[in-house]
Amino acid sequence: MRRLSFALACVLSVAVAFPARGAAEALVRVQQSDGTTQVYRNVHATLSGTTLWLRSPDRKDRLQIVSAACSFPHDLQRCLPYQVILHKPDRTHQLTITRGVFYVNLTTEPHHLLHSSQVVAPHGVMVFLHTTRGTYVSATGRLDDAK
Amino acid sequence: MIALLLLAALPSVAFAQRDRGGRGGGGARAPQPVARPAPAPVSRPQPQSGFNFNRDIAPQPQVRQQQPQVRQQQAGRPARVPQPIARGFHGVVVHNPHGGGEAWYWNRGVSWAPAPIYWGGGFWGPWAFADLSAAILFGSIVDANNNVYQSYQVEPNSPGAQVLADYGLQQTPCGPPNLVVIWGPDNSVICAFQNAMVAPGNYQIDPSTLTLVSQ
Repeated sequence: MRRLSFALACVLSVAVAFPARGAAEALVRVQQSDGTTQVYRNVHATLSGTTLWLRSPDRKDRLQIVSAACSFPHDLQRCLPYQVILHKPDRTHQLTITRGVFYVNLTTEPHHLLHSSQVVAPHGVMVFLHTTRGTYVSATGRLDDAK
Repeated sequence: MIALLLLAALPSVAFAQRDRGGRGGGGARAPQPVARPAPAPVSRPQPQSGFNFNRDIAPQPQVRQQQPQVRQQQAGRPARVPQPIARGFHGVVVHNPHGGGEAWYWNRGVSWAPAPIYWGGGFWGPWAFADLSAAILFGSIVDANNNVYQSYQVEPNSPGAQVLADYGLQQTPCGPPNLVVIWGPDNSVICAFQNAMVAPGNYQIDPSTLTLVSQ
């Protein structure tokens, strides 16, 4: 019994220290101007510098969200996207956005968004985009990787 | 034995971490609707598909009709590119009393660059050119060439708000004389009342140190 307890304790401590990679826990919601909405679960989210990458559940498409003006209000990193590129297997499309914002929590503690009860979990990400064609994109979840 | 337990436990621990992260508000546990939900949207889970942005990638011949008004005022300017320093003032430096001297000390050492589709590159707040109705107009400045530069209220917690706080300045609408006129990134401008530290006149911000440089 002692051995089993010790083994479980080892497992838990190792698992907490090195969370599973490639878990793809983000959820993306795309609401187009006609009201139709697509929800994508198990989206892979990666932060590379100030660019956020969202990979579709089938791993074929990638949404590249290029941002700047990153600052750190209240321990969250807030960036302003200005260019969004949809990478399909055969083509690349630039989506024109009017505005957007994304928050990432690179700490190990949850933090509130400014003036909001919304909490961004540790290593969490939250994205909001609005395109010129009237599409709203939101994404919430956990970063799979941050470089 | 331990290795097998380890492999079996990893996914469940990952979920447990996500739940723990949502404590105190349930923040990232569930997707939130965006700012303007359309009436009765049809939600379609896409378990194994690529992203659908058909309406955004379809050709649109009349795209130029949606140019926002503020961008039209700047139609004669060259292409908008990130420019940390827009005007090139070389006068007296009014040192930031809260400045650490090192570049980007105020941003955790991370360099700040303007985001092109936002007024002032986002320095004064997340005010997008295409949706400046969300910002509060705070007067304007007309230069010697009759170019009009609209000014907007600074968002709390923005880098621009930190500049005002560091110098003890209070923003006021641009237009009246004898104001402190502060030029930010990408030809943005705000105005403030003078105080004991900053006399009326034109200043430019060095974003790396949040320092004011007079004309």
